[in-house]
Parts: sequence; C-alpha cells; structure tokens
Amino acid sequence: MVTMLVGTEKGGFLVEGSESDWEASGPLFPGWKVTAFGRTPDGTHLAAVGSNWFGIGIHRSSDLAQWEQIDAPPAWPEDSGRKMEQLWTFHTQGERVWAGVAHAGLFISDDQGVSWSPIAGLNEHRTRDDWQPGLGGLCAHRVMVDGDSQWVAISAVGVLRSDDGGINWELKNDGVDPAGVPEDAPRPEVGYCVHCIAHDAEDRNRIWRQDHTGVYRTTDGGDSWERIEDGLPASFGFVMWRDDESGRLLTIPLEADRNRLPVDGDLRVFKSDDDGESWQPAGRGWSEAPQFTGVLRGAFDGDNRGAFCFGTTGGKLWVTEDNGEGWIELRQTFPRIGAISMLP
Amino acid sequence: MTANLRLPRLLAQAAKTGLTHEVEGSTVGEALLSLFALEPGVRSHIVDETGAVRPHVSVFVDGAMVGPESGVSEGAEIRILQAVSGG
Repeated sequence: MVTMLVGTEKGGFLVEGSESDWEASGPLFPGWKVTAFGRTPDGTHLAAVGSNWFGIGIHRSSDLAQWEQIDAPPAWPEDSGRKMEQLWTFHTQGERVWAGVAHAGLFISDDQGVSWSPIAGLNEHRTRDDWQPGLGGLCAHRVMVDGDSQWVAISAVGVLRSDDGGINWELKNDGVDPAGVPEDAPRPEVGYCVHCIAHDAEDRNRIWRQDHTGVYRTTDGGDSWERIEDGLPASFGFVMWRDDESGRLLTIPLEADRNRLPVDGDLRVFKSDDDGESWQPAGRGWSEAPQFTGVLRGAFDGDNRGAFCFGTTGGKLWVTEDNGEGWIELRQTFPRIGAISMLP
Repeated sequence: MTANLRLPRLLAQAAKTGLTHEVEGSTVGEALLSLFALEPGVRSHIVDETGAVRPHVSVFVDGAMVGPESGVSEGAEIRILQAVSGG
C-alpha cells in the first residue's frame, strides 16, 4: 500500500493504493495552491499553501483528517522590500524544521512548525543584492542538513553551504555553468540556476544536481562539480532523486529551457546505478503515446524502500513499487501538480 | 464605532472563531487592526509585508469599495473579498 499527499494548483489530495487499484480523496484546502508537505520531529504533518489573493499559509495535522492553520507563517520584515510569495520546501532534521521560501530565504522552527524565525546568515547574505529571480521566481527550494553542514539550493543564485550550523554561508558552484551568461563572459559569483539537489545519506558530501545548465555531481560537498550526462536524452530538467537503500539515482529529462517537455514526448524516468557515470531509461510501463507534459522539482518523491512517484504539470500521477522497474500511470487526473509526499 | 465585518470563505481555516466579527474603529484601517487582534491568523492574508492591503483583496463598506483611510460609521457592514482574478 502506497499513500501519497499530492499538492496541486487547486488544493491537496490524498491518494492511496497499490498496483492498479488507487483511490483519491480531496481536495484538502479547496481554492488554495498546495506547495509543499513536511513532517515535524514529532510526526505532525505540515502542508504549505498559497493563494493569488491571500499569500501563504501553513497547516498542521496529526491524522491527515483534521488540519489547523498556524497564525504566523514565515514572513519578511516590513522594511525588507521582499515578498513572501511561496513556501517551497520543508526539511526536518533532529528537532528542527527548515522552510525554504520565495523571495529566497530560510526559516526554522523548533516547536513543531508552530512558529518560525529567519536564518539571518543566509537571508542577509553579502551577495543578496545580486540575487535575481528566474522564471520560477527567486526561491530557496531544497535544504539538506548534516549536523553543522547545511546546504541550500536557490534558483538563479546557486548552491550555498554553511559549515557552522547556518551562521555563515559560501557559494559552492565551481564547475557549474552559469545560466544565461555568454561563454566568454567572466564567471559570476551568483547566477547558477540549480533546479534540484540530492545527496548520499551515508556521505553527505556526495551530492547530485539537476541544474538549468546540466546534470552535475560533487564528492566534496560542493567545492567542485563535474558534468554527468552520459546516456541522457537532454540535460535540462527539475528532478534529482537518490534512493537511500539502493543508491539508485533518478531524474526526468526535459528537452531544454526553451521547450520544457520530454524529448519527442517520451516521458521517462532515467536511472543511474553507478553514481551518475551513465544513465538509462528506468523500467517499463511508459505510454507509447506522446506525453507533452512536464515534471516539477517538488513533484517527485520516494519512500527509500523502492517506491517512487511523480506528478506532471498535466495532472497525472506515475508510481513504481519495485525500485523503478515497473511504472503505472494512475487513472485519476488532477490539477497541475507541484508537490508530492510519499508517506512511509 | 462598532461595525460588522465579514471575511471570505477562503479564509475559513485561518479565522479560528468564524467569518463574521464585530470590530471597532473609525476607519477601515482601524477596523482591520481590530479584526487582527481577534483573528491574528488572517492578518498576513489580508495585508502584505508592508501592512498594505494585498493587491487582489478588496474592502467594501456598505457596498462601496474603499481604502484604508475611509471612514466607518456605527453599524457599518464591512466585507473583505478576493478580486475577480485567477484561472
């Protein structure tokens, strides 16, 4: 049995099932875009919502049935000149929850997601004035933590790492091509449009990166990056996932930034079982008919026990329960999917 | 002045004690502050980081769309609506 929380442009949905038998219920938070899911250290579920009219919100639930909205979600100071456009991600480690937001920044909660405070060292970084939004906005969309070592991925800025628990942050993008910069131009300090990062749970300095400009990896925590695109039909995309149990890497290539669709409509997950040295299409079950749809960075998840799922901008869900060998497209159609959480 | 304020249904989960409230104030801005004291969870949905009413949120007093400096008379009906936008 697989249970998924699915966040869409028009509410959240609970999807449960296995093999060819799936049930969907919802919507949760009707009328609200659901942008991220998370769990607090005590197991409380978190759902981030947003609205074209009313800004962002965070809901908490212990049972996925009753949800209570907190009074004070992350907010920028009145004089900051920044807007709280969207909450992009939750990350929980130890007794703390991190939230990545747009306009880009990090906030932390030490009380199960009830109250939030900013991480000044990142949010007021010395390069902040040079941060510019990409097509998806100026968003902090991925957070990884290993004790005092912390990483954040910010679209159109790059990867930043802290080695002192979030006090000081350094840009870590050497070896990555900047986005939208002529080849003969000097390398900028910021302007690296990271789309997604995933790391080895046993060695957090091994990180894989789907970037605007290609697919990369680092073995030194981001000090240096190298391209790893052998076998991929395209180097653009938004997904990067590493299964902790098998070590398998998964990504979903899209043609290019000018055409954010699968090459020739061939929607496929690609896998690597050699740390990114080579890539191959993952498994069977894919549609023979062209699928002109995209997959966004928050719309891929796994349970680290061989089950993965992803949702498309066309509102379809795909699931595998055998480590990516056999894929099933669910019959249900949802609004544009931007967030998925697979529950253990 | 005491006025009756009604929130839109989309804020039902942010408003812990209901969508209708008696609020105090001689201006719309004061009435909103009165509302936020009763329902702190709706504040960030109605005003932005600068304290201004969000661009796609409208405030009506007795059927007329007004700004934060507009006056509120005793017994006025204040409605907060989302603008007709979106897809």
